[in-house]
Amino acid sequence: MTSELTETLASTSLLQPSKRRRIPVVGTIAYAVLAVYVLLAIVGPLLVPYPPNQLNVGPRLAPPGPEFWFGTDALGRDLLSRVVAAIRPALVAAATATAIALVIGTLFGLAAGYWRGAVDGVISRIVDFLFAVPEYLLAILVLAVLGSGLVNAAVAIGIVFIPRFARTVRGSTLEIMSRNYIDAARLSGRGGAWIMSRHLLPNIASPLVVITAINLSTATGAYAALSFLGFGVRPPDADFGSMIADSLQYLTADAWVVVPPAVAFVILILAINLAGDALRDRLDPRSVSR
Amino acid sequence: MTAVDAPAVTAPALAATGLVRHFAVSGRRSKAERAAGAGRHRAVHAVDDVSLVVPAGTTLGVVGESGCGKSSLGRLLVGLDRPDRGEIEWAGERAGTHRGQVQAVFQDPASALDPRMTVQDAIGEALPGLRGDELRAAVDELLHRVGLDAELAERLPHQLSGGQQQRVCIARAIASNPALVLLDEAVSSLDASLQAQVVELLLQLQERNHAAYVFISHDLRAVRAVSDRIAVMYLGQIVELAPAERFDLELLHPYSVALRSAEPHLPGDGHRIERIVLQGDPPSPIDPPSGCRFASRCPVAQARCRTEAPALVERTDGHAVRCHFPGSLVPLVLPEEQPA
Amino acid sequence: MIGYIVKRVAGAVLVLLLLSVLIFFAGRGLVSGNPATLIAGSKASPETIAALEHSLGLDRPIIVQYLDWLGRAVTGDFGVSPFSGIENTEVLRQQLPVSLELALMSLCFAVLIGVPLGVIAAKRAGSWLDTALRAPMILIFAIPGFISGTIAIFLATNVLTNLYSPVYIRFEDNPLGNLQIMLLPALAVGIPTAPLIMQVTRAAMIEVLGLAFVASARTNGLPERRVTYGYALKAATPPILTFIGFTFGSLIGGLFIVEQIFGLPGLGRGMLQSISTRDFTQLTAQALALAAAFIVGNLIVDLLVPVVDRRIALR
Repeated sequence: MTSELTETLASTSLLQPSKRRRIPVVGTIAYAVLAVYVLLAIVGPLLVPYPPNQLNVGPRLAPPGPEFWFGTDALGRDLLSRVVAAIRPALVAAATATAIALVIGTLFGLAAGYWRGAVDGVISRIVDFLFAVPEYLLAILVLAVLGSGLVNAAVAIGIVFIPRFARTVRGSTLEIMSRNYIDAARLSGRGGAWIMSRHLLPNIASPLVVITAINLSTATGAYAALSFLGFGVRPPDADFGSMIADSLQYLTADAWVVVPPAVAFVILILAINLAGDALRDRLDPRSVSR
Repeated sequence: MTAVDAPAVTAPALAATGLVRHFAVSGRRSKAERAAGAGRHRAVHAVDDVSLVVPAGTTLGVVGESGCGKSSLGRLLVGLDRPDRGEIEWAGERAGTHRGQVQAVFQDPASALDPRMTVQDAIGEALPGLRGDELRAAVDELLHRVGLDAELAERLPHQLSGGQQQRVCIARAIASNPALVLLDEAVSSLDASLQAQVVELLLQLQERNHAAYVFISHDLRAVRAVSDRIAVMYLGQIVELAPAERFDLELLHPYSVALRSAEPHLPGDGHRIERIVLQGDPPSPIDPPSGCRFASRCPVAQARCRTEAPALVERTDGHAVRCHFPGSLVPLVLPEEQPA
Repeated sequence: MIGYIVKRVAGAVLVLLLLSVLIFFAGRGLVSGNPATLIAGSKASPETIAALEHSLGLDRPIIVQYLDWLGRAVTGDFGVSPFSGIENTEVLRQQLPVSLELALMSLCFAVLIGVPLGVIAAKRAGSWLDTALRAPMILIFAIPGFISGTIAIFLATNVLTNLYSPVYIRFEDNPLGNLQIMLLPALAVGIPTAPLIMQVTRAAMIEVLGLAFVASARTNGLPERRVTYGYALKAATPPILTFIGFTFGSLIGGLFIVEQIFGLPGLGRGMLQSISTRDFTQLTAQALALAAAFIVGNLIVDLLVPVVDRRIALR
């Protein structure tokens, strides 16, 4: 029952209701917005008006205006420059965390599904255990050991996300291992490496892409949250979570300082979410009619 | 084969002795099972003490209802599963690492072909030694042999018809010149005219390659059409093993007789056999009864059958039966109805 | 049934044991190097450090230290923090109730919002109302807890100032004041969880509403309201309840963030402080308490589900 429910959750996108009235425009806009963010992450630092970490380029807590489009923060830094600078760590952390979970989780899942028996027993126990641990508690314990910083936070998130990939890959692998073409490959003397690379990976690619997209969005949120708690890039570098956290103390008099990083971040995470939804609609065999 | 390989020439393509394969059953016992005294560790007796020999160039048919263990037996014979007990030899060598010396064709080509692999790659998988042009030429030759156009080599499985897919599977199975080919319901998914074509193709290829076939099917007519000898399976055991030509009116086991009588009559068969309808379903293969496994449904069962398990005994040359009272169920032969 | 309970309890104990290993070593990992040096300061003489090591039991094999720590923890003794000199059990006694209260209130809000909306959406599945209810949920669902927390603290400090106090008000000192200041934090954690509960309720209700016994209840002339809430929702409860168990994990994430934003002296904020002061004795105590609370919560749900299920089976 529970797995059915998580299936239901995974397969129903919230925006696109039961009748499957597709809204392709939403997907297109999400892709476009995401493309802009990626572009800004790469070339943004060259375009911004001020060095993002430079103090007192303007007055402190200046409201948005013609010179400082997004205003300045409490240390007189240009918020537009800092918001743009924050995109890169956000995307790098999400991508790194997801890549770690993807690679390790896929290896675990493939091994468990291919060898079954004792290998599966050990891996499945570890995965079950990791699933039974609250994700943030685990991430923070990992960070207690590793210390803060972009890479460490990404590693912590990656570790926490491993079971999600391992479980999906294991399930898909088990399903494919029951197909006769695997038997045929074995009869022809093909070994594990061949079967995994030629049969298993190509055939689990679609579900993998789908959960990768979902986890990219979750990882973006998780990294920002860890950064908000002080585990992200070290100051003075800009980061969405830490910028929002820093601005909390000015919420009574100068509440707008929270707006640029918060809005930029919410747009980013919505775009990743909706782009993932659009991708899933294209790839998920359950939603694609042949 | 050269003369130096003397044992390979004389040894049968397949020899299996005393194969046993049980699958542990997890989960709760039902009330009925508990009442029947089922133990905590239960097992499906998929294959129970099966021995058989298939000489090169011949076909052994294996027939039985679904769930009788014939597919489990097939997987054991080609080494896709390991028996709990028993020995298997391929061409006189102990079964072990696969090098293409045994191959298989399965029922569902949709599952037997990787949807993301072209025909060329699927067949090439069985030819690990070949690369590039050599591989291409070998694949073309194999496609030709199974009656397919070489143009299909670049296609993906979903771009082929069911019959074409099955021919690709056959091409893959014969690519490595195997001594033994398992045909597990290999024609069951095809319609009647295609079945006849594919069976014809298989027999031609056998004449050429001299491979041994194990032809598994629930369809007795198809089995009779291709086999030299036929094994009837019931609840994991062979109950009768007979030359195909005896597999009509000379059957000895009541289950075989009933199975033969259930075969649909076609014009031209010469005679009709009155259908014997078996009562009830086969008992669960989980911890089967201790007496004769067929006793609960046997129309001619006697008291001894329920307490004492019969052994498989060779009655005449090449004809073995597992029954205390062989030949006690006699089929009723009717003359063929003349068309009005 | 007894077998089921024993199995679940044993599973929970096992997970907690494994977690305790993880927590213990994470605590040691927090102190890179010798804890005694950290406590005594880098200028302390080797003799002082050796003496400190001995008095803290740090000179014993690490396995012995773990077993000793676990043995004491089971009896509720987490020792005295060598950094603050405060008994760690006392710290837990202060912080655990704050986090538990916040978690429970958040859960109530999530359920009170999510379940009714899910029922309504299921009753009108496919209609404009269904879409109108679910569309905003994607927004809320996509937004991480620290954004909802930021909005909540903005409201607390600017608009609903009577629901905010910069100093924490303890329940035993002023119950009403405590509930007031906990309201917004609990909403900030509960609201982002509501869309998931709504989605699950909707899915479970749609399934149940299609079942024969609901149709027969309807044809037997029972009022629609009783069919929906008396029969269908009751039958849909086990999967919803199971799923509520799944949300505990994200609830804990919410605790860390919202306690930090509102300055609530709970376990989440306490753990972050322990990490920044490198107080590993306190961190391990707090993490273990949080883990235990989480596991007990899940265990309660696990044990409740068959109880709810059984009542339906008996009907």
